[in-house]
Amino acid sequence: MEKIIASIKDILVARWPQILDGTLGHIQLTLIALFFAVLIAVPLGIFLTRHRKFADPIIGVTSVFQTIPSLALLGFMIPILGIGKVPAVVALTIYGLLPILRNTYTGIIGVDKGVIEAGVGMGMTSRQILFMIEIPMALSVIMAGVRTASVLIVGVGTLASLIGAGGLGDLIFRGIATATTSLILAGAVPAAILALTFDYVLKSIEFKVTPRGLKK
Amino acid sequence: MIRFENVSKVYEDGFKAIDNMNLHIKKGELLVLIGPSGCGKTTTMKMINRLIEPTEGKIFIDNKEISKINPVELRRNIGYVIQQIGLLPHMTIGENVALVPKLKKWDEKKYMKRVKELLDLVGLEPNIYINRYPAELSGGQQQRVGVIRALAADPPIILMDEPFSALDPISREQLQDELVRLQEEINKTIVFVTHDMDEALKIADRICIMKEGKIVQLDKPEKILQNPANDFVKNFIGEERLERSNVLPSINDVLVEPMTIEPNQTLKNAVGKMRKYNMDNLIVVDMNGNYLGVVNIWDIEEKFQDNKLLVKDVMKPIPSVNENQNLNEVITLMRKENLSNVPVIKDKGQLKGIITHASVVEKIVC
Ligand SMILES: Nc1ncnc2c1ncn2[C@@H]1O[C@H](COP(=O)(O)OP(=O)(O)OP(=O)(O)O)[C@@H](O)[C@H]1O
Ligand SMILES: [Mg+2]
Repeated sequence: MEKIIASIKDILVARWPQILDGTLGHIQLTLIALFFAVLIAVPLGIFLTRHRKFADPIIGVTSVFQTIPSLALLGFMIPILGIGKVPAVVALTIYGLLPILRNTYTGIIGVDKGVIEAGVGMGMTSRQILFMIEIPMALSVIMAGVRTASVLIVGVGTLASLIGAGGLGDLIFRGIATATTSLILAGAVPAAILALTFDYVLKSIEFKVTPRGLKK
Repeated sequence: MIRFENVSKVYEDGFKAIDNMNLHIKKGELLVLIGPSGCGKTTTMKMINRLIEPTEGKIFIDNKEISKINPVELRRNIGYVIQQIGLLPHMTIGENVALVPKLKKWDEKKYMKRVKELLDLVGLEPNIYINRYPAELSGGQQQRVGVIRALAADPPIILMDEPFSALDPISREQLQDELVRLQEEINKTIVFVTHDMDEALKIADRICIMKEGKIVQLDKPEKILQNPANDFVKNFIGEERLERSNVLPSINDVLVEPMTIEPNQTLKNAVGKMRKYNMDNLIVVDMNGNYLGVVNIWDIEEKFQDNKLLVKDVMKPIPSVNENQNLNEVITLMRKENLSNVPVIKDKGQLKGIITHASVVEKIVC
């Protein structure tokens, strides 16, 4: 045990630049993928609340994406988009869609009908209903989806190094290839910390943006 | 003010919720819609602000057909209080109340002043409550906010769907009292839905009793108590309430046949008639039976010598009452003015009968 800790220390010192590099690359990858996932899933989720007959099939399709093993999904990207960051971002985005889409949809559907009726009855337009009532009230549910997606993306993101996207996966796979446990850990531990950090940061953002009246 | 013309509503599943309804809600009145669950009260109310569109017929507000008015515009000019209160939980009380004025682009100074006025109106100290969130208020306080939110932009019409039903009896009574007071103060046209007959009797100017999408009876509370249209209404009001209301007989029960005389008769004839019937006064009516005044034996006696005088020259007007007034008011009037009898007039001015001390006493004592 002591030996492992000592060697981790060595690796940390020796590989510091790579770890930093890998972490930054990973953050970048995650943020970009998360950004696109939010950009697609939130409006799509809102659209589905307005056209509910499409909700089941479309959420169904995204669930199917989710069940594709992450490795296979990344593999699919190669014939279509080649290797590198772009196919990795696409695959990670697809991975992040479901939790955000599902939470946006259920979050908005779940907004108290009485409040919406009061809004309509007071003469709010459907845009105002969306932006002044539905989104604020569903925000914490939507944010929970974004958090889940971010943790997923950070995790799957380690595999993205297999198609040449860089990130912490580089360290892990090199460690596996050379059977160096400490190298694997040098990739895996920051990845885990990163996942927790994303979760934490998004949670604080969520708390900040939640109005006092909705805090439990 | 609000007029339903042959309005029917058939829901998508083919259920006929409203069946050829004709209804006229007058300006400034508080009309209560009441009836068993599912009779179409909410449907009726929501057709007024176009949350539900009728499948047949037309609805007019101030003679404008509402299907031709933009629904958003229409709703901003109609206050709406729903049963579930529906305060926006992520906005403060102040923001909630200011919502419609804001949507209508009032300037901030104006609506903030209004918000404070309204909070005061229902006994919520603005400094304390304006920045609170709905979850930080009691149910009764939230309900008050729901009511003043509907008043905020000063709409001429307010719709209230069972606004007090979720409250404990004490808050409910308080809010009913407040509503009655408010109504006297602000004089809006209010449509109020309730299940609760006591509530209806307490606050309504007129009550509209509905059953299966139709109006069964529409009248003033005391009229409905006195003359329930049919067994359904009787049952709905309940024996107990009917009995309670029957403690005082209606005006019609104490009417007596008046002794009348025409204005162009001579005083001599008048005295003759009084003598014959052993009365000290006669009611003066014209040829069409319209009430004009009263001649009294003492007035005649003073002027009897003057041959040229006729009944119309000595008669006096005395206070009369309308046949629709309730007996309580009449008794109060007789006491206050120290009258021994009061003529009762029909809506068009014709004399219907008179009420005398004796006739009242006889009915009440028996
Ligand atoms: N969207 C709908 N589709 C089909 N039927 C409906 C719909 N909304 C209401 N109804 C039916 O129309 C009838 C009248 O409903 P409404 O809500 O107006 O009743 P209500 O008098 O307000 O009853 P309550 O006192 O229970 O609130 C009911 O029988 C109800 O089941
Ligand atoms: Mg109802």
